[in-house]
Amino acid sequence: MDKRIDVAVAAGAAVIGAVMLVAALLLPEGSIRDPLGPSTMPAVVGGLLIVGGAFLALRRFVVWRSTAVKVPEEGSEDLENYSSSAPRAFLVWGICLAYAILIPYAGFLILTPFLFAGLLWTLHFRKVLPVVLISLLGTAAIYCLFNIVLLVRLPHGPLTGLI
Amino acid sequence: MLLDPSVLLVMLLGAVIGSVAGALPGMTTTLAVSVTLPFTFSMSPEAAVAFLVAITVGVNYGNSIPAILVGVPGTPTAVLTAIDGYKLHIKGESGLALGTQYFAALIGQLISTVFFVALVVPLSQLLYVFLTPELWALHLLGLTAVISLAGKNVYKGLVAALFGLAVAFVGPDPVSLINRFTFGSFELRSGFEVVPVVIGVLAISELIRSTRQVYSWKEVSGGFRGKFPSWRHLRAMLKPITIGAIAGTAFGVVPGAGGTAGTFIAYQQAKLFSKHPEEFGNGSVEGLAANESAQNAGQAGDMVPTFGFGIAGSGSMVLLLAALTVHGIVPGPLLIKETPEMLYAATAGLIGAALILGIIGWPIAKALLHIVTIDRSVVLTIALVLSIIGVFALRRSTFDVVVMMVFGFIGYFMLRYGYSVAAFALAVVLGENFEGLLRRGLLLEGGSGVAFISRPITAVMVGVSVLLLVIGVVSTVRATRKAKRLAAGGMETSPDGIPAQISAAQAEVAATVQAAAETEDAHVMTTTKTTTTTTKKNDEGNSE
Repeated sequence: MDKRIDVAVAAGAAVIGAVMLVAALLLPEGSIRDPLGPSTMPAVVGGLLIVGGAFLALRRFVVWRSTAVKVPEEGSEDLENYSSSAPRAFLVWGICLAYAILIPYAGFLILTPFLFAGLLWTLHFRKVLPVVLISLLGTAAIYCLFNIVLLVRLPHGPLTGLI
Repeated sequence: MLLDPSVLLVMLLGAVIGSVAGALPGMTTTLAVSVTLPFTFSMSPEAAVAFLVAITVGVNYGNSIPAILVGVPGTPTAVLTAIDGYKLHIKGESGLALGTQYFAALIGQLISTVFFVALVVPLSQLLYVFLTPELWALHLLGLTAVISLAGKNVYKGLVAALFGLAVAFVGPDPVSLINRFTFGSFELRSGFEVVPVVIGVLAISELIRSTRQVYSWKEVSGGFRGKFPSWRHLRAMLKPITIGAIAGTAFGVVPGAGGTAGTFIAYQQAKLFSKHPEEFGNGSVEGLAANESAQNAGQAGDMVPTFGFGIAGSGSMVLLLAALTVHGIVPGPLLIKETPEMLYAATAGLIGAALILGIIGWPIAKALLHIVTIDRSVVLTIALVLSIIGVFALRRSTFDVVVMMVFGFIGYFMLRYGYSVAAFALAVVLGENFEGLLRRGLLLEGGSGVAFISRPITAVMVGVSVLLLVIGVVSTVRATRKAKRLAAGGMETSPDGIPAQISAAQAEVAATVQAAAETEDAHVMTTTKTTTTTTKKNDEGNSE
């Protein structure tokens, strides 16, 4: 794994801890007073996060010059013999996030086929007819399952009132 | 009552509906019961209770199947199934994983039902003993399971757990109710919903990580073996299943303890008693069995305070009591005495649903396994879409889906850089109550913390928690140092410590000799398979 990103993640944990610690110390007491108050535990957790994040970052800095950019993996590794693409993973994430934001406006029935098609295309499933069929049938199946069987109303967007 | 056709029919319906609902990410037991509650108004009270109980049994069974096949837990109680079960599936041992889940769920359910029937009255007395200090100690014991889930780097695991606690603190303060860490956000005034956070960090992160590479499962694992485990495998599971059933029932009895805490404790205890603790988190059959048994046994435990005292231990039990009220039955301490048929109906629901799932559960699992092997890209796509819609269905909230995606993004980096997502999820689930119970307990004890260590049950649980924490940290650090020493000597290691430079044949012999010294044959087969596939793939436990 890339030691620079490893340091960045550890530093991120420390930053979250610092924000939590500062925000905790600025909290008002509240009308009901207890021995610990609303600040104590968040301050403790924030402090420990600062210590933990700083420790994990410093252990890399101590041997920075003597280690390569790529260090032994400590997390989930990719399979050997198959190319990996972080941009593809981020694109998939972005497509899903965009869908979540747009669904109240565009509606489930209009947007979901595009979600299916976009994800399948990104994941190299590029047979046109199967993509179209899976997109349409998948959308219909999920709509029936949630809207009709489970009685969970999905957003209809511009089709509101028509269905 | 089990032979009444109308009751049998509603139990069948309930088990099937529950299984389908449980398989949908985000569809919790409470939501599944709330959706079907109106249908019970036209049923007899006995049929209504049996139907709703069968649904809860079905949800606890169904939520594990996507956890194993796609790594997406249907509910937070299936978190550990998504870790060990999915790893087994990726190794090609789908039949072993699904069969273990099926067997452990059934046996755990049946054992807990026996406990429920025999001990519903005595167990309900626990409510008088379990006050705030005991509940806090229970959550502390659950949080120490973090060490079992810390992964390769125990410090990163602890940081992940601390981050989980930080997330749990967002929202209203548990005592004074002032808003904390909302930074002016209206949506965060009630804090983060647990389900989107847990599904985001556990399921979405893994799904996003999986999209880094595109390949066919058959190329990697040689196909998924759907064979039901042999009797020797099943016999080896009996100890962790029993541990899970006892832990699940016992912790299910305590209102508000939550099924998730019981599963984590059962997992941790099974690891302590296991002869192969290094397999936990890397596709452990024992870990999977203990977790499944505990989560299914928790259902019967959950019903003890509900029927013994009329105190609902969970959201689904609140709805069950609501159904009883609609039928003119008053929940309370006299429920069993005045209307014993309600207890019979609940028992029928537990046993009936378990038996029905015993008949249809394995065929359903095998059918889903065949579907999942069609195309990896299609399965990942469907899993992502269902996760999004399932979480949306929770509160019809787009914010929940955005939260899920944000934590999915964070979880992606946690997975890639060795921060335990399971430890994070555990801390999120237990963290809010952990702080609230401590502070409310201090208020009730007049500011004195002595009660938290002087009460017998509390003192024992706190002592055990500290011991487990120390043992866990020391053993994890030792194992890491050993691996580093071997690596420094030019030898890579497999998860069970055997140097990878030894040829595949020698490694297989070494593992077989090691395992032959033990009495249970099931470990021989599992260890040999793990060592053989590890020398092929270099780090089986962390690969996609």
